[in-house]
Amino acid sequence: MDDRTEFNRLSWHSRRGMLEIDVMLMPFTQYHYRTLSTNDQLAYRRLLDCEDQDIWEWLRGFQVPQDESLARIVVKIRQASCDLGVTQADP
Amino acid sequence: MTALRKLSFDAIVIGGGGAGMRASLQMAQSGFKTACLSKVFPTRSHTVSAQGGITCAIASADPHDDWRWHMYDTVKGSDYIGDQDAIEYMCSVGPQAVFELEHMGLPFSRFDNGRIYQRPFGGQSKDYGNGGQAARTCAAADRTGHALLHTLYQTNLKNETTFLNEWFAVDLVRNQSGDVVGVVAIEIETGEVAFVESKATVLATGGAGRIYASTTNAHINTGDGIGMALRAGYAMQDMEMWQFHPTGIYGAGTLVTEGCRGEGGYLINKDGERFMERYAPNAKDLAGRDVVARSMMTEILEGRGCGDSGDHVYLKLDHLGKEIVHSRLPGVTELSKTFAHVDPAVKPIPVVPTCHYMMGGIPTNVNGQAITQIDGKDQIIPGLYACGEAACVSVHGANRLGGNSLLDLVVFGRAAGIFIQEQLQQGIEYAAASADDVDHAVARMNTLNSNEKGEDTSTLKKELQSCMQNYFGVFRDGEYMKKGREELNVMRERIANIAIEDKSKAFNTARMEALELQNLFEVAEATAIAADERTESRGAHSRRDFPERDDKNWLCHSLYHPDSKKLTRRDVNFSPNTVETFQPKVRTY
Repeated sequence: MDDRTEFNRLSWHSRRGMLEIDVMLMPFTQYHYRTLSTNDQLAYRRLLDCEDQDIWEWLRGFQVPQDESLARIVVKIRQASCDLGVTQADP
Repeated sequence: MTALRKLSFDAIVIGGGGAGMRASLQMAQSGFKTACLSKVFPTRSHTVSAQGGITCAIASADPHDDWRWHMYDTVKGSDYIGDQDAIEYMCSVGPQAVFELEHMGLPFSRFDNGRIYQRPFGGQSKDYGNGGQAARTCAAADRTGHALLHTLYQTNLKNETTFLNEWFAVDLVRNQSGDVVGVVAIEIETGEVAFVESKATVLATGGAGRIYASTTNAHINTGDGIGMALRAGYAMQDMEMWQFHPTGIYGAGTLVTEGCRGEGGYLINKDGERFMERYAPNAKDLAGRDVVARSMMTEILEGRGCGDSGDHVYLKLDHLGKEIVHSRLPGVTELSKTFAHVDPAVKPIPVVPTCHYMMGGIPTNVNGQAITQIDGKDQIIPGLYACGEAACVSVHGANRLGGNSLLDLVVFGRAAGIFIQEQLQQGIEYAAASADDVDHAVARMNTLNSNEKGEDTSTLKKELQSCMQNYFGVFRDGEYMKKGREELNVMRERIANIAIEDKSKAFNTARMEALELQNLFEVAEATAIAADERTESRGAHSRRDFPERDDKNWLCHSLYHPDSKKLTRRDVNFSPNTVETFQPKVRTY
């Protein structure tokens, strides 16, 4: 899969069943994914394969994923979401 | 003529949420070749957001509970334009549908005696409103929707349903007699277009809250089934009926619980005024949802909104003190920090009334058969079915009760499945679609692919959402709506002529988003015309120029006809089969 197609795939997969997750993952894919290290990009792709219900517990900080690399990427998404500001939360 | 790959099934369900997978399961269990086509992986459908539970009189919390009491609540909640035969069916068949889910392995929470746990929800009563609060909502902790999706997905796999995951349905295919014989769809991963042929096509595509700027709906809720049906010329029912929640976080749309106002929080405008004191001197910020939402919109429209655009108000909690805010409202603190980037113990939360649920949709009977009207008479659309939020059967009428959406999904997904299975057993024969018939359904996509000059999707989407939010949201007024309709008239052609730069095939998200916007537009226009022409206030539909319920003229469904853009009336069913009719009364709680 070429780079653009892979990026589009991630964009599509960051649209989820819950709005709460959409507004955190969609801008993260858009503005941050390309700036991540290879390892973090891999972790992010793995996160997108997880269940919405789990992702939501992690993103709102009620639980921490046991997998270290997932925990690391969750912290980055939460941070990015704080930095981004409300008006851009809906790309 | 286009040479398309063809896939053939006995039945195809468009949408892999709760309703779609319940329907596909029923048909697959009977051995019919069934496909469930979904633009997202099914367990990532919006059903996952229905966390609270499934309301149903299984008599677990109260052994004397009665489905007729649930029926009474639902009819009253609907402000009397829910069809009583459909509500009777849902409430009486509900327990069987819920126990089937239990037997499939849905992990319901339990009481100590082992029976399914039920919790109380708003609008639930015992003894026809005379026996106090009922606890009728069956729950799997706070993840009922998630559990439902997983149970249905696994059971469908066991029964060999074919899943066409990440396929996008573009338009309905009809033969020369007008029978619906399948859909044209895109396999997103490859961009390949196919004709998915079927003897029964079930639209279970969910809601379309994305027509509004502020909504609790996920981004996938773009009303794709409604768009397809409207483009095919079929009528839509009660499209003016949208449920709004007063306190969605501005920008994100995520909900802040009413508990905030219960703890002493209140709303302020840009002058810092506690404006609810003017609109509801007694109840103030704890007035009914619709009253609060309308007051907020009045402040915004009259120029007292907050922020640079003056398009929201503030929910103030900081006067309660850090300790109370953080200890009593931890979920709200977290939500507010995450989505509004403010600590509510320090600064107020920007909020705006937010669209939550679409009560209207494709009119159907209790068997899921889609209905349109020709010369004022109901006509079954051969080959087309609908269930779930996309359908309007109608059990929610002008206002849905909490916990009734999941019941609607499983009962009517199941009912459509049972009916189609019987039809298939008796034998369904439709003339095959010609190449021209299929071409007709590919035309919209071909135009999109070939357009070189045109506007882009995201700008147009913002304009559409802002128009709907301002003129057709919580607060409706003939004068404003006229302006909104004029804006929509201009927008139609612009949205029909969107151009996408990216012409690639695989995972072309720009193409999908353009097709989704065209669906949203169809839903928006139907909503606008129905809202403008229903000249009364009922349930979620509230007009400043017609503030009263008008049973003489409007105790009926509205039916929007896309070809003529006219609104007609359709009778509400007041003839349940086994109980007395519930007569319309003034709705008070």
